[in-house]
Amino acid sequence: MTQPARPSPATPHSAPDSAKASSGKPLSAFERCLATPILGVGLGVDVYDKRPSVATLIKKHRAGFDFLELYTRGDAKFSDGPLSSLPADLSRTYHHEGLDPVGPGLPPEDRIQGCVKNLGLCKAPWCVEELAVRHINGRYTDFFFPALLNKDSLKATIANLRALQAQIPAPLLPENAPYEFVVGDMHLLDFLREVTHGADCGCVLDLGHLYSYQLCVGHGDDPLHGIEKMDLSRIIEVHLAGARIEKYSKGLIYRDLHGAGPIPEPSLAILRELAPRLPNLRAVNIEVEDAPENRALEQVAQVRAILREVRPDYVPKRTVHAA
Amino acid sequence: MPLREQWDALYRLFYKRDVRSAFASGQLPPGLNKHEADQFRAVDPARLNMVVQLHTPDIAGWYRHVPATWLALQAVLDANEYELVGLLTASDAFELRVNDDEGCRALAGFIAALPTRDTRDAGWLGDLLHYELLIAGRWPDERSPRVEKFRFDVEGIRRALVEQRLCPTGETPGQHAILFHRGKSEIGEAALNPDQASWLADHLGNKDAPAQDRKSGVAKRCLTLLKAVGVSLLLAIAVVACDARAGENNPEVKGLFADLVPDTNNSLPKIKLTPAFPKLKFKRPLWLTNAGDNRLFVVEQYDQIHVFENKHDVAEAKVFLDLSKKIITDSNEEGVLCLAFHPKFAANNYCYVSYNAPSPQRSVISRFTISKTDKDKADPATEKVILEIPQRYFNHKGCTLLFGKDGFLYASFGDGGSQHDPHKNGQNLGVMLAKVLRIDVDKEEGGKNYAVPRDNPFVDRAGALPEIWAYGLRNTWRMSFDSETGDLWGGDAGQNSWEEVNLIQKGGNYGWSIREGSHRHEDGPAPADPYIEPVAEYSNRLGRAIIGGYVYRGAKFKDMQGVYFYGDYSSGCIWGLRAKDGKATENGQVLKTTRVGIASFGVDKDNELYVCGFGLRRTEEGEILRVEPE
Repeated sequence: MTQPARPSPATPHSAPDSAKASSGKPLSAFERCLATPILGVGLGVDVYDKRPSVATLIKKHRAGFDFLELYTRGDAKFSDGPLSSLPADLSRTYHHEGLDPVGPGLPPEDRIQGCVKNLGLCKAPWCVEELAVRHINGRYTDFFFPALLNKDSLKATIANLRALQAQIPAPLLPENAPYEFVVGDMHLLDFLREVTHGADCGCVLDLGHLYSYQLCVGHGDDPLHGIEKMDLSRIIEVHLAGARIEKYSKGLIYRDLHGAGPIPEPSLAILRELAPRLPNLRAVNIEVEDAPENRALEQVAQVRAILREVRPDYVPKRTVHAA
Repeated sequence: MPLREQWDALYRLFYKRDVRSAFASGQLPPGLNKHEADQFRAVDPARLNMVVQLHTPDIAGWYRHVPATWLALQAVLDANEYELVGLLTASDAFELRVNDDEGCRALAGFIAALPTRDTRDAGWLGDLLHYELLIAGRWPDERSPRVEKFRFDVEGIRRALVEQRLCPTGETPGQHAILFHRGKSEIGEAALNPDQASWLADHLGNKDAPAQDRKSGVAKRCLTLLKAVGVSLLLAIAVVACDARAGENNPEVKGLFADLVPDTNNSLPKIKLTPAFPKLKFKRPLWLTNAGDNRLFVVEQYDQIHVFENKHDVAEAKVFLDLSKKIITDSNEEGVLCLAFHPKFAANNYCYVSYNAPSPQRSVISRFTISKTDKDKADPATEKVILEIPQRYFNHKGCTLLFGKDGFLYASFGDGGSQHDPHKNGQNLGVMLAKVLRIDVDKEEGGKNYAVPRDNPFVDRAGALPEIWAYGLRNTWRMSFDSETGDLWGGDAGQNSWEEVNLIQKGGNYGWSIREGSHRHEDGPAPADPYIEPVAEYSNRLGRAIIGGYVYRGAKFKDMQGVYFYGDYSSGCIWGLRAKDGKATENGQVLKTTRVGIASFGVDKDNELYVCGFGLRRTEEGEILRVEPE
């Protein structure tokens, strides 16, 4: 069987710059993302963290990154202070957790409203949410259970994302979660393509998480295996993070360390190969919780260097946050 | 399999005993039901990187924010022996309990007290403990990795807990494990029953107090062995086997936890539970009732209602009604929940069933008609839906159905679920959730398949549903009429702190979600009706889910006459209570614990009392036990 060719280099869509298209029809979540200019290379941080400290990064290292992706442990109760004190000229995105979009139904209303509240405080142009669940049948899990890769799950995920999107003021960007086991017969990239088309949304591709999936399905030696299945134009943001690749009796496993480790080479290799093929890439985020500021900034420099080489047109335009 | 079931199966699969080794070996773990087995098979082993790692990864990563869970306790308590896990997790409530800061602190204390030694052949456990240390380290602000420096005496723990038979796996174990540590000024604990409280008070609450003879043999062994592993002063971890020792006197509790234990100085009869029908086993039996004759009916949560002759050596139970195709199965608080017979059942052959149905998720009360040719059969095709209430969560459904002496049907409904009553149904008289309803099923009016009795308390109140009889009830899972006085007793399950016994009165407001028991739960507007105090309440340190029982009115056991018996699903304790004018005159433990999960009490036509008991593990069959004086 002939395999489809891998996508050609990026041809950016024309980006609408208002809430409505010229036809007067409201923009879809995906189109609203396209209206956002390139954010550059940012740092994913937990606002409660002391290391790296959001305040220190903002105060002393503004040139060292282009934007911050803010994470609040999904906790809306105490987020007013950290989120409302951000300087107006800081570009930011918001990473939520706990909406469980791949679960069998919608999360409780208070969780949705917590996300709405944080987005309002954060004024981010979009909201990132893992394609995973942290609650099963009302029970909190201490593990990101990644999406089941089957048709039932796909159908529910699309329905959930559409319903959530109707309640959440900013576009939701689903992100591929880390895999340590795979349940289901769909390919992850088929699943992602169908989700983004079905929910008419963009997405975040976490390059380390993609590699974790490839390890699980026996393609660790080809981290972009099956990439032709994905509609790359839907990728609005990519994530990178520190990790450790460990050997176990059944092969290798990806240990997501975020700021507590270096970005592994396979993730960087995916970035090198993929970045030129992402026509609508708006943000490259390095998740650095637990990293000292200097290490976080070093990783930004490392990624900027790669992007300068493989994607010279990827240049942040200006400070971005929602009105 | 619907997606919800897939997730649930996956959850249970990955959190189940023996699963790690099962995945590693490629063998199906024992005790899986069909769904679980299917799920297991659906996971291609070639795609699986050892489930062992599920809870050990990311030691220095973002998992550090996650509260400790019972998995950590699992690892701590039983190392590679899984025998105790089911006990620790006999209820979801315990899981939730540990999943909080208090549990974390206890865990942190435990881990901090462990000798630092190389873990060698149990590296995964060491990893897990590393991970949990970092989690626990949130309080002293030690989130930064200490991974390379930390080692645990895994084998020492294992020896203490298993090989030296501190937790004898060959015996019938008790229901509780407790984990606590003693710091400079406080004791943190989890899952406590009076026996454990006594032991705690004796040995940790006052370290200078001499050991008392009244402590159980198991407790002595705990102490000895804990000293042997060198952790007793800072930390104690004990698994107390309670059930087989029911013959011991209740311990006198002094000091630290005395206020949490119902009065034990009383004249209440101590009881025992004996197998009522040793030849019959049931899958999650959660209701027992009678139809005014010598038959008993047992409701199984996910399957069928059975009928059998009330005879000790009865060997067969027939299927009375099969609702398995109509109900939500495999959800802890949903399924078929109750059965009641019409007061004129002998003439009209009507019975009423409450159950939970899917698509859309809802609570249903339906009438079924018993076959004219076979009195032991009800035909599902005769169903007439009386009432439906939309539901959105998986918990707090109620639902007891009772006919009062007035001929009306009383039905209890919980607040609809999740936690802390997110939709504030408790005080909302415009919804049926968190209420006891009273309806007339012999009439129909207003397009409904029932009528509202004119003397219902809220028929004339604007904005209130006329069906409501009482409100402010979080989840009155079980309620009963005193067959002599007509008093309506209910056990209302609390949130995180208090379980309560109520005398449910016409128009009564029992406080939820503003109050939990007699205590403040959250702020809210002034109540529309004054709160009614519970007749009795107990702390969640003594149990997590009250099971309302019955006032004993049987003829066999004179000492039990007039005593209201109630229990707790999580702790297995049973208490007795005498009341006068709505206030408890005596209230105390009459049975320390049981070897089953108490799902309900029930009575036969002679008002003799029974307990519907779940097996302690989900896959174990349950049974019916008779309540008798000790």
